[in-house]
Amino acid sequence: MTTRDGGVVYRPSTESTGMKCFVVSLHRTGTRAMSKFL
Amino acid sequence: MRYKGIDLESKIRDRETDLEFVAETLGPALDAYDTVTDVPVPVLYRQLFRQYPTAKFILLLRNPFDWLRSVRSLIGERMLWPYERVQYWHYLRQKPMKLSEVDDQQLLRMNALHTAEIIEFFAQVAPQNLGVFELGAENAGRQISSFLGLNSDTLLPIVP
Repeated sequence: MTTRDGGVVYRPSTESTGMKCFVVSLHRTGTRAMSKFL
Repeated sequence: MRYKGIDLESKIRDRETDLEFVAETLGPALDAYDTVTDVPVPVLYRQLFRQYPTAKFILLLRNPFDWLRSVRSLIGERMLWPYERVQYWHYLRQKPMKLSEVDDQQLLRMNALHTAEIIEFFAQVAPQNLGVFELGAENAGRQISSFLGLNSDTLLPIVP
């Protein structure tokens, strides 16, 4: 699920892989690429 | 970030510099998802590590001048949103309402400080939890997958 630019979240825990992952790059540093990638 | 119909971003308005409060407010959404990216997550890494000590943290590096151009182009003259303010006010003491009030030097310093502080923090508490990758590197996708324990050759997409 993707919201607007300013908080992009996806893969609900109902489909959980059991791993938590946070992208801590600054805004405009691959955050959108990561939201598509992961 | 909306969670169960609740606009969490409006809840943190006027509390943008209180990172404990921001992390706590986003808590239900953070609990519900495996992966979270984008503002305000980048400056919440201390709170997130405390809450999720086994989580993986990914730091992508980008040429700071490209980042600066991208930020200027995206935000321009408009007001910063609350989630953006959480990130920028953490580093910019003057608490700008617009990024156009901030000069390039300050933004570049903020970029460098963010990278340095994250690396320093995880070096002390849990170096194995932090993966640092170069945005645009040919094998970045494979490296990130490997860091996450996933077997994938998927390329990291290019997003303008």
